[in-house]
Amino acid sequence: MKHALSGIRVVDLTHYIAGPYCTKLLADYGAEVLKIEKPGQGEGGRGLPPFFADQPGVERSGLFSFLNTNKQDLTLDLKTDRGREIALALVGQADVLVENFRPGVLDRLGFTAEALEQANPHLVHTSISNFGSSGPYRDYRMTDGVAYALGGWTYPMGELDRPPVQPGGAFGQYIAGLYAAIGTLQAVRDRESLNAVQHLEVSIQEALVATTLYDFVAFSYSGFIRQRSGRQFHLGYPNLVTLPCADGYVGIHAGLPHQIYALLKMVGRPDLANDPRFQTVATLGANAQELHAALLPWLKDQKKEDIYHAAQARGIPACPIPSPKEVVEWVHLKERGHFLEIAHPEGGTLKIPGPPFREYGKPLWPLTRAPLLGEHTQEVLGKKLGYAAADVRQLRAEGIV
Amino acid sequence: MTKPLRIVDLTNGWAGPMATCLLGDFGAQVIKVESPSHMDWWRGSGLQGSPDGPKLYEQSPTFNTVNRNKIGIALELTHPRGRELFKELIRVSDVLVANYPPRILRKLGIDFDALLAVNPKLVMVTLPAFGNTGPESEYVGFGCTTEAMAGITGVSGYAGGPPQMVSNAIGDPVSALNACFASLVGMFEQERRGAGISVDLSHVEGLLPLNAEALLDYTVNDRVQEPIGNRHRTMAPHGCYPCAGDDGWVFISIASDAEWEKFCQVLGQPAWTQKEELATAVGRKAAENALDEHLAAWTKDQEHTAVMEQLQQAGVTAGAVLSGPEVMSDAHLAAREFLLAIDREEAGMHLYPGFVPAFHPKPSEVHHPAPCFGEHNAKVFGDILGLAEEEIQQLESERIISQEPVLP
Repeated sequence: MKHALSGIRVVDLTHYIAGPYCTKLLADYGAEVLKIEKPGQGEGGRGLPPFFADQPGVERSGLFSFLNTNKQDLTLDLKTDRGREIALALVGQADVLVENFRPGVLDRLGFTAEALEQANPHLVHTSISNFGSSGPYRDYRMTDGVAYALGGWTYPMGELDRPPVQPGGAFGQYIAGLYAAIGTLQAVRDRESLNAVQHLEVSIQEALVATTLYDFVAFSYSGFIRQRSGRQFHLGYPNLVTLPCADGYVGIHAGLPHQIYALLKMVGRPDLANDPRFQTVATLGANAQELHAALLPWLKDQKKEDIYHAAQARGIPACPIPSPKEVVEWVHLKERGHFLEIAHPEGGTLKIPGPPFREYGKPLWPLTRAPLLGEHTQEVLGKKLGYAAADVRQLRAEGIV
Repeated sequence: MTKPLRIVDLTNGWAGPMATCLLGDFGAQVIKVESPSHMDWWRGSGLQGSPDGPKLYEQSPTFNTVNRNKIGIALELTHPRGRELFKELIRVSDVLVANYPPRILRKLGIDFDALLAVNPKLVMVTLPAFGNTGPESEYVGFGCTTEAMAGITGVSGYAGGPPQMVSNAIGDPVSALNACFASLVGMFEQERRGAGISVDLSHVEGLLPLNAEALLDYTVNDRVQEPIGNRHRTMAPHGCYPCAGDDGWVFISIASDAEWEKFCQVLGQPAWTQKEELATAVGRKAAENALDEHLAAWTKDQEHTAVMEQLQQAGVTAGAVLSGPEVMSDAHLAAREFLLAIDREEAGMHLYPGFVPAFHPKPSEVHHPAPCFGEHNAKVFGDILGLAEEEIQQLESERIISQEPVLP
């Protein structure tokens, strides 16, 4: 599927995670992505850890190197008239513009709706921002922690007698990037029938709210408020739980009654399968602590890998809780060839997760390493806009590229 | 005019149905297939209160959220005539999304090869938890299982504490987005080749990018990350602070030295903020425990939204920790009219998440709430497949199609 999107040309004015992940998804499946960065330091994503040997530098971010595979890169000072003209000329030849500037910035740079329409009347314009382009929080600042809080993800997570705890990572930005990539493809499909510039907007807060279900919708139905319930997943399925074992933790996710009975048999307590406390979803919920207590004596002598395979052999959803190291070393992913190795001039051989899906029965395909800052400036300006080497030298001397 | 896609949705639970729901939001015709003997088990999810009411399977908040903009049929795939009709449907459709394990599809005789024979341009997306190949391809899991196997649970939770599942089974909604993206990429590939394609999506592999920072910290620097609670690796203060009211909390991130200066101004420059070493992130990080206590003392008698507004007006990153009902009444989401009120038979009027992304000039619309069980049997078998009314009645009498599920 490495060429699936090969006809689609994307101008990429994104930075950090959400925007670059959107254009990476398009690029890894074959779209032509031209990433435009500001001359000098490039976009902020070059400053994201982890860094090669923990040493920051423009070409030393491992995360940037992951988020920008299969893209071409040119530098352009969008604050100059000439820089804007060049960018608009590239937009004129493209199908899609993706950006994640704060609301208002694109207008101030001169990329108004009129200018974009004039440059390309069939453009798909994809915007990602923290809170969208309208509403009272429009200009509010956001970190991952604040995104989770306002997206409703943090309140139900953690122990009831402690503060809520944020999920670990930057998931809101990735989820927004995914929504943006999906919307972009849909808009490209609709382009011919619409005959107009299409603008699509993803708010990170809304992307997070749209990926919750158990909280406000459940409240709307029944007035139910899901409270923090520690290592248990609280709502209907009390037996999704994280429990200690001999060498760490396991996820025991026997959600359905028949899975719970198989589990009780596995731990040597088939007698409890007929116990009135463990018969219906409601009674299982009320007696969850007692059920977990019945599992602990068996779990404490078993290793998480062994529990995983023993449970799965009986059709019980269960798993180890792997560390990042154990994920990278997981045999199943190795057999599927999922992690890819890419040579990087400053990072040596970089190991990264591959694209999320593939053709059934086929291996993944190699990805081109993330571009160095401005690596394709000459090539893109020459091929796309007919600039001679001397013209590019002149632009460089003026600090525009 | 681009012809709207026709999608056959042979999925249940959260991930598969939400993937096709998005395609429905975009204007595709999505036909959800359940079976008279096995309804989507998610019709039993999220039910609270009376467990004995009539037609409870039409009252699941979660099922009704991820099945809007679809029509629904109940067709018995274990019956040969049921399988024949399923293939007829595949013949006139573009995409099949299925989340049954590969062995079940083979057993039912509706694996990709069998379906390609009736529709050589079929795009088929299957999404087993661990993918279609590999030593653990038959293993099963819920959203929290795939989340754990992507290493997400292992890096979430309080610092020094046990690993913590993410609050909303992140494996499911993210797999939904990946499956939706896979369906669209699959359509582009089908058009490029002029032939059908079978797409293999592993939930876990689709989740790994979200955990890239932790995974790369290991592959790049051999560092194994652990949970850090509400803290941040470089920013400080960074945490969840108590507020007035029942279980009220505010999340504050001092994201830069400039934000720290603004923060001190908002507080009126109290003495504890004036130490020189606090001017830099490194200095604040070293003093984090003491700073957290000062912040908590300042926030604890204020409303969480008041703290957020005051800090954000001053340019400091903060957000109220919203519970479900607070999301429902959030001023910003309300001003953007993000949540949608949808009236549905047997369930009444409720609020649901709105459309992401928001499209202009052709916004998405709700053209149908989640289908009741077998609601569109007549439309699909009559209007789309052209069966006569007597044939449809015959199918009903043999329970090959039905509007009455067998209850589990």
